[in-house]
Amino acid sequence: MKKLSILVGVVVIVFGIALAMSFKSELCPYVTVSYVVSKGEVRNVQVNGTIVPNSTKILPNNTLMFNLSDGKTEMRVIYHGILSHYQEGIPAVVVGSYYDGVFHAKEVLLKCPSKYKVAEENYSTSKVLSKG
Amino acid sequence: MDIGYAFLMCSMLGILASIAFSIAYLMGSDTRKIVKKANFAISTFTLLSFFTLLYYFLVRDFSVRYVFLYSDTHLPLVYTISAVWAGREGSLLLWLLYISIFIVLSTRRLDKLDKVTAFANIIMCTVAAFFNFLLLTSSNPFVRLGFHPPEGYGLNPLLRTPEMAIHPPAIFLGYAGMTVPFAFAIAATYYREEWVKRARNYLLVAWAFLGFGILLGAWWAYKTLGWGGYWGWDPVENSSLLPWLTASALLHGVIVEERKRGMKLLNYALAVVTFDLVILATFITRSGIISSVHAFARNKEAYAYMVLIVLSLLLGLVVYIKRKDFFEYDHSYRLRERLIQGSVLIFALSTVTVLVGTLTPLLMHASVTRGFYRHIEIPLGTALVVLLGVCVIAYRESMLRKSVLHSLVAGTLAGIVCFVLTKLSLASLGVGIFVFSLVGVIQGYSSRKIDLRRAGAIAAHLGLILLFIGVMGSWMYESSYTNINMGVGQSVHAGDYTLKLNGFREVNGNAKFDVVAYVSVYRDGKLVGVMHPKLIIYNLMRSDRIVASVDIISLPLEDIYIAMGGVTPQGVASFEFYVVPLVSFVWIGSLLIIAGGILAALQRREEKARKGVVDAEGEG
Repeated sequence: MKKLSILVGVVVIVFGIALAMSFKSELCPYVTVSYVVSKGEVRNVQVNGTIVPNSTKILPNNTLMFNLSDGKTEMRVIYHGILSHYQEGIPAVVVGSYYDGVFHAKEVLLKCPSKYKVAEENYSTSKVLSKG
Repeated sequence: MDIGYAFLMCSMLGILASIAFSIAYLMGSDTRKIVKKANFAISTFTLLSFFTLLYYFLVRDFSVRYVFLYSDTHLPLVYTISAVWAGREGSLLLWLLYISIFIVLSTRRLDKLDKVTAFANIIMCTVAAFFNFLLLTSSNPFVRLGFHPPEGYGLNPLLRTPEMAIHPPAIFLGYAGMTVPFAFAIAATYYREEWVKRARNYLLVAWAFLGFGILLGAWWAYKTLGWGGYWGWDPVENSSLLPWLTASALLHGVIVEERKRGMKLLNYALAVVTFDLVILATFITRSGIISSVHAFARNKEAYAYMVLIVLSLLLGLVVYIKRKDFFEYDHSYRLRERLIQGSVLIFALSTVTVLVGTLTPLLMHASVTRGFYRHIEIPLGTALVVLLGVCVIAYRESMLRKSVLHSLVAGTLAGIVCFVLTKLSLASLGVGIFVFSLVGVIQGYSSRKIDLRRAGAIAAHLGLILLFIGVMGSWMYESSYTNINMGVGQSVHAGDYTLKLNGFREVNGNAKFDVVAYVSVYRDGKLVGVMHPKLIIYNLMRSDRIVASVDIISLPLEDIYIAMGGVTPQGVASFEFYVVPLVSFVWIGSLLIIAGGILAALQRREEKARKGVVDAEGEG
């Protein structure tokens, strides 16, 4: 009986330590654009903001650059990959790290942070196709 | 006043009457017949209210705000019906409907309507009153707009799939069903009686439907969301997993309680916690609270849910303190019971992990990434599968050593073969564990008499082992190619596969039009198939009216999966392509687990039927 309690105790302690370590390394705080820019370097955060109109640059290799604003401050975001629902002027959440004056996004969530909803598609897609 | 709202009020009166006359019964007067009638009235009026809402959907009465928000004139009949539970109000009405039916079922036999049942009835009716109150106040589905819009806003296009039509009813059946074990655990303990036999079937059915609902959600996510995965550790997914995990633990704990009269306290606690997690899940799913951190203060209902959770925990605690002596038992467990307790511990630790991750956005200004769950849940799941391999052969301790040795040899051999073939060390370890537990399960059950309950256990345990290997394959060895751009006639290499875009076609439908891409997929120069990922554009005033539809080819050992992201003005389409190994094992394994629950629930009916025959013979 005593041995068993010790075993369960050890399991729970090991679990607790693993949980705490995993939690610490995978925690991704929500911060504002102003906070990120004032800090200069921040790793592994989520930033909420609006995509600034006329700030988008599409580079080769599917690289996208745009500015994200929280109404007070703007920051440059760089993202590799396709964003099929990308649009300027809509709210976005970027997940990643800020360094060298640029936010390197691992993920860009558009319009609504839940993936259960699809952000508005660029109208051009359907127009181009219907013209053939 | 709307007629549907009036029905809800009648249902509320029925609830109050049922509670009042149950109390009268507990105080000594024989009011059982009235209680039964009141319960019948609750479910009848709730059903009428539900049908009223359904009727508004069918006649497309857009002056009803809820109908306006979730349907439009082009919506096909099936999805018009499923739109009833597409939003918060309708889901709560469905919850109330289910709990009212469970109330009628669990109190249906007058001769069995004893004090325990009467007390349980009061608890269940209080829960029904809670949801009814929400429906009458802040979540009234019958609110009118004051004018009659010619067209509705429309159902979210992502919800227009068969899976999403049945997912909420399955999940909510599971949620409502968990109220029964909770109510009977409290009531029976209060009167120093056993609750497990009374509630076991409800627990099994609720557990199976909850599992089925979760599976439908995962399958829908896989088919619809286009990221090649089926489980994103999203707060909404997590919240439905939480009560499933504690209910799984409870199902195992109940075995020990039935045999040894032990683990009473833990099972009691699990029944209470499962109910609280169900309430938490209802709240999280239908409030959007986690996706928007600041919603909490603004959502009035948040406090109501918190009050219900706190009250039920307090009730559990008070009854425990009053009946502390009832929980005492001897600790003379054998190895098998110990191992079952081990599985309960693993389920509990899993629950803690998911709960911590899910509540982080509420408690801190942060959220955790998928890695957090995977680091913890993969080792826990592996431990569970290993434990299973030992546990099923531990019923005969004399044979244990020999049997474990057999499993170990088989597992090691399989692991070595896998390593020689693939050179993947983790995959080989996984295959080794898979075979170890599989051989264990075969040895454990092959020499025993098989009734329905045991058949259920076999199905569920085989399902778990398949699920394990499926999750391992699909999470650790998925290849993703998210950066594919092709013009018509161009081809691109993705791992072992070559993709070629043949062209596009437009298909005009009634309420939508589809842009279909034709992509040929080759492997080693041979055509595997032509895939048809689509963009579906709905004629809706909704902003989310364009949906990407994926195409999947299921090969025996892997799925190939393609989604179209969009088309540039130059006619270059962007695709995401995934190769997902062993994912079909996930579906088969999950289905087996659910089937196991249903099989085991059928057992008692058979027993009862047989008992009935014996009784009849005795009388004759």
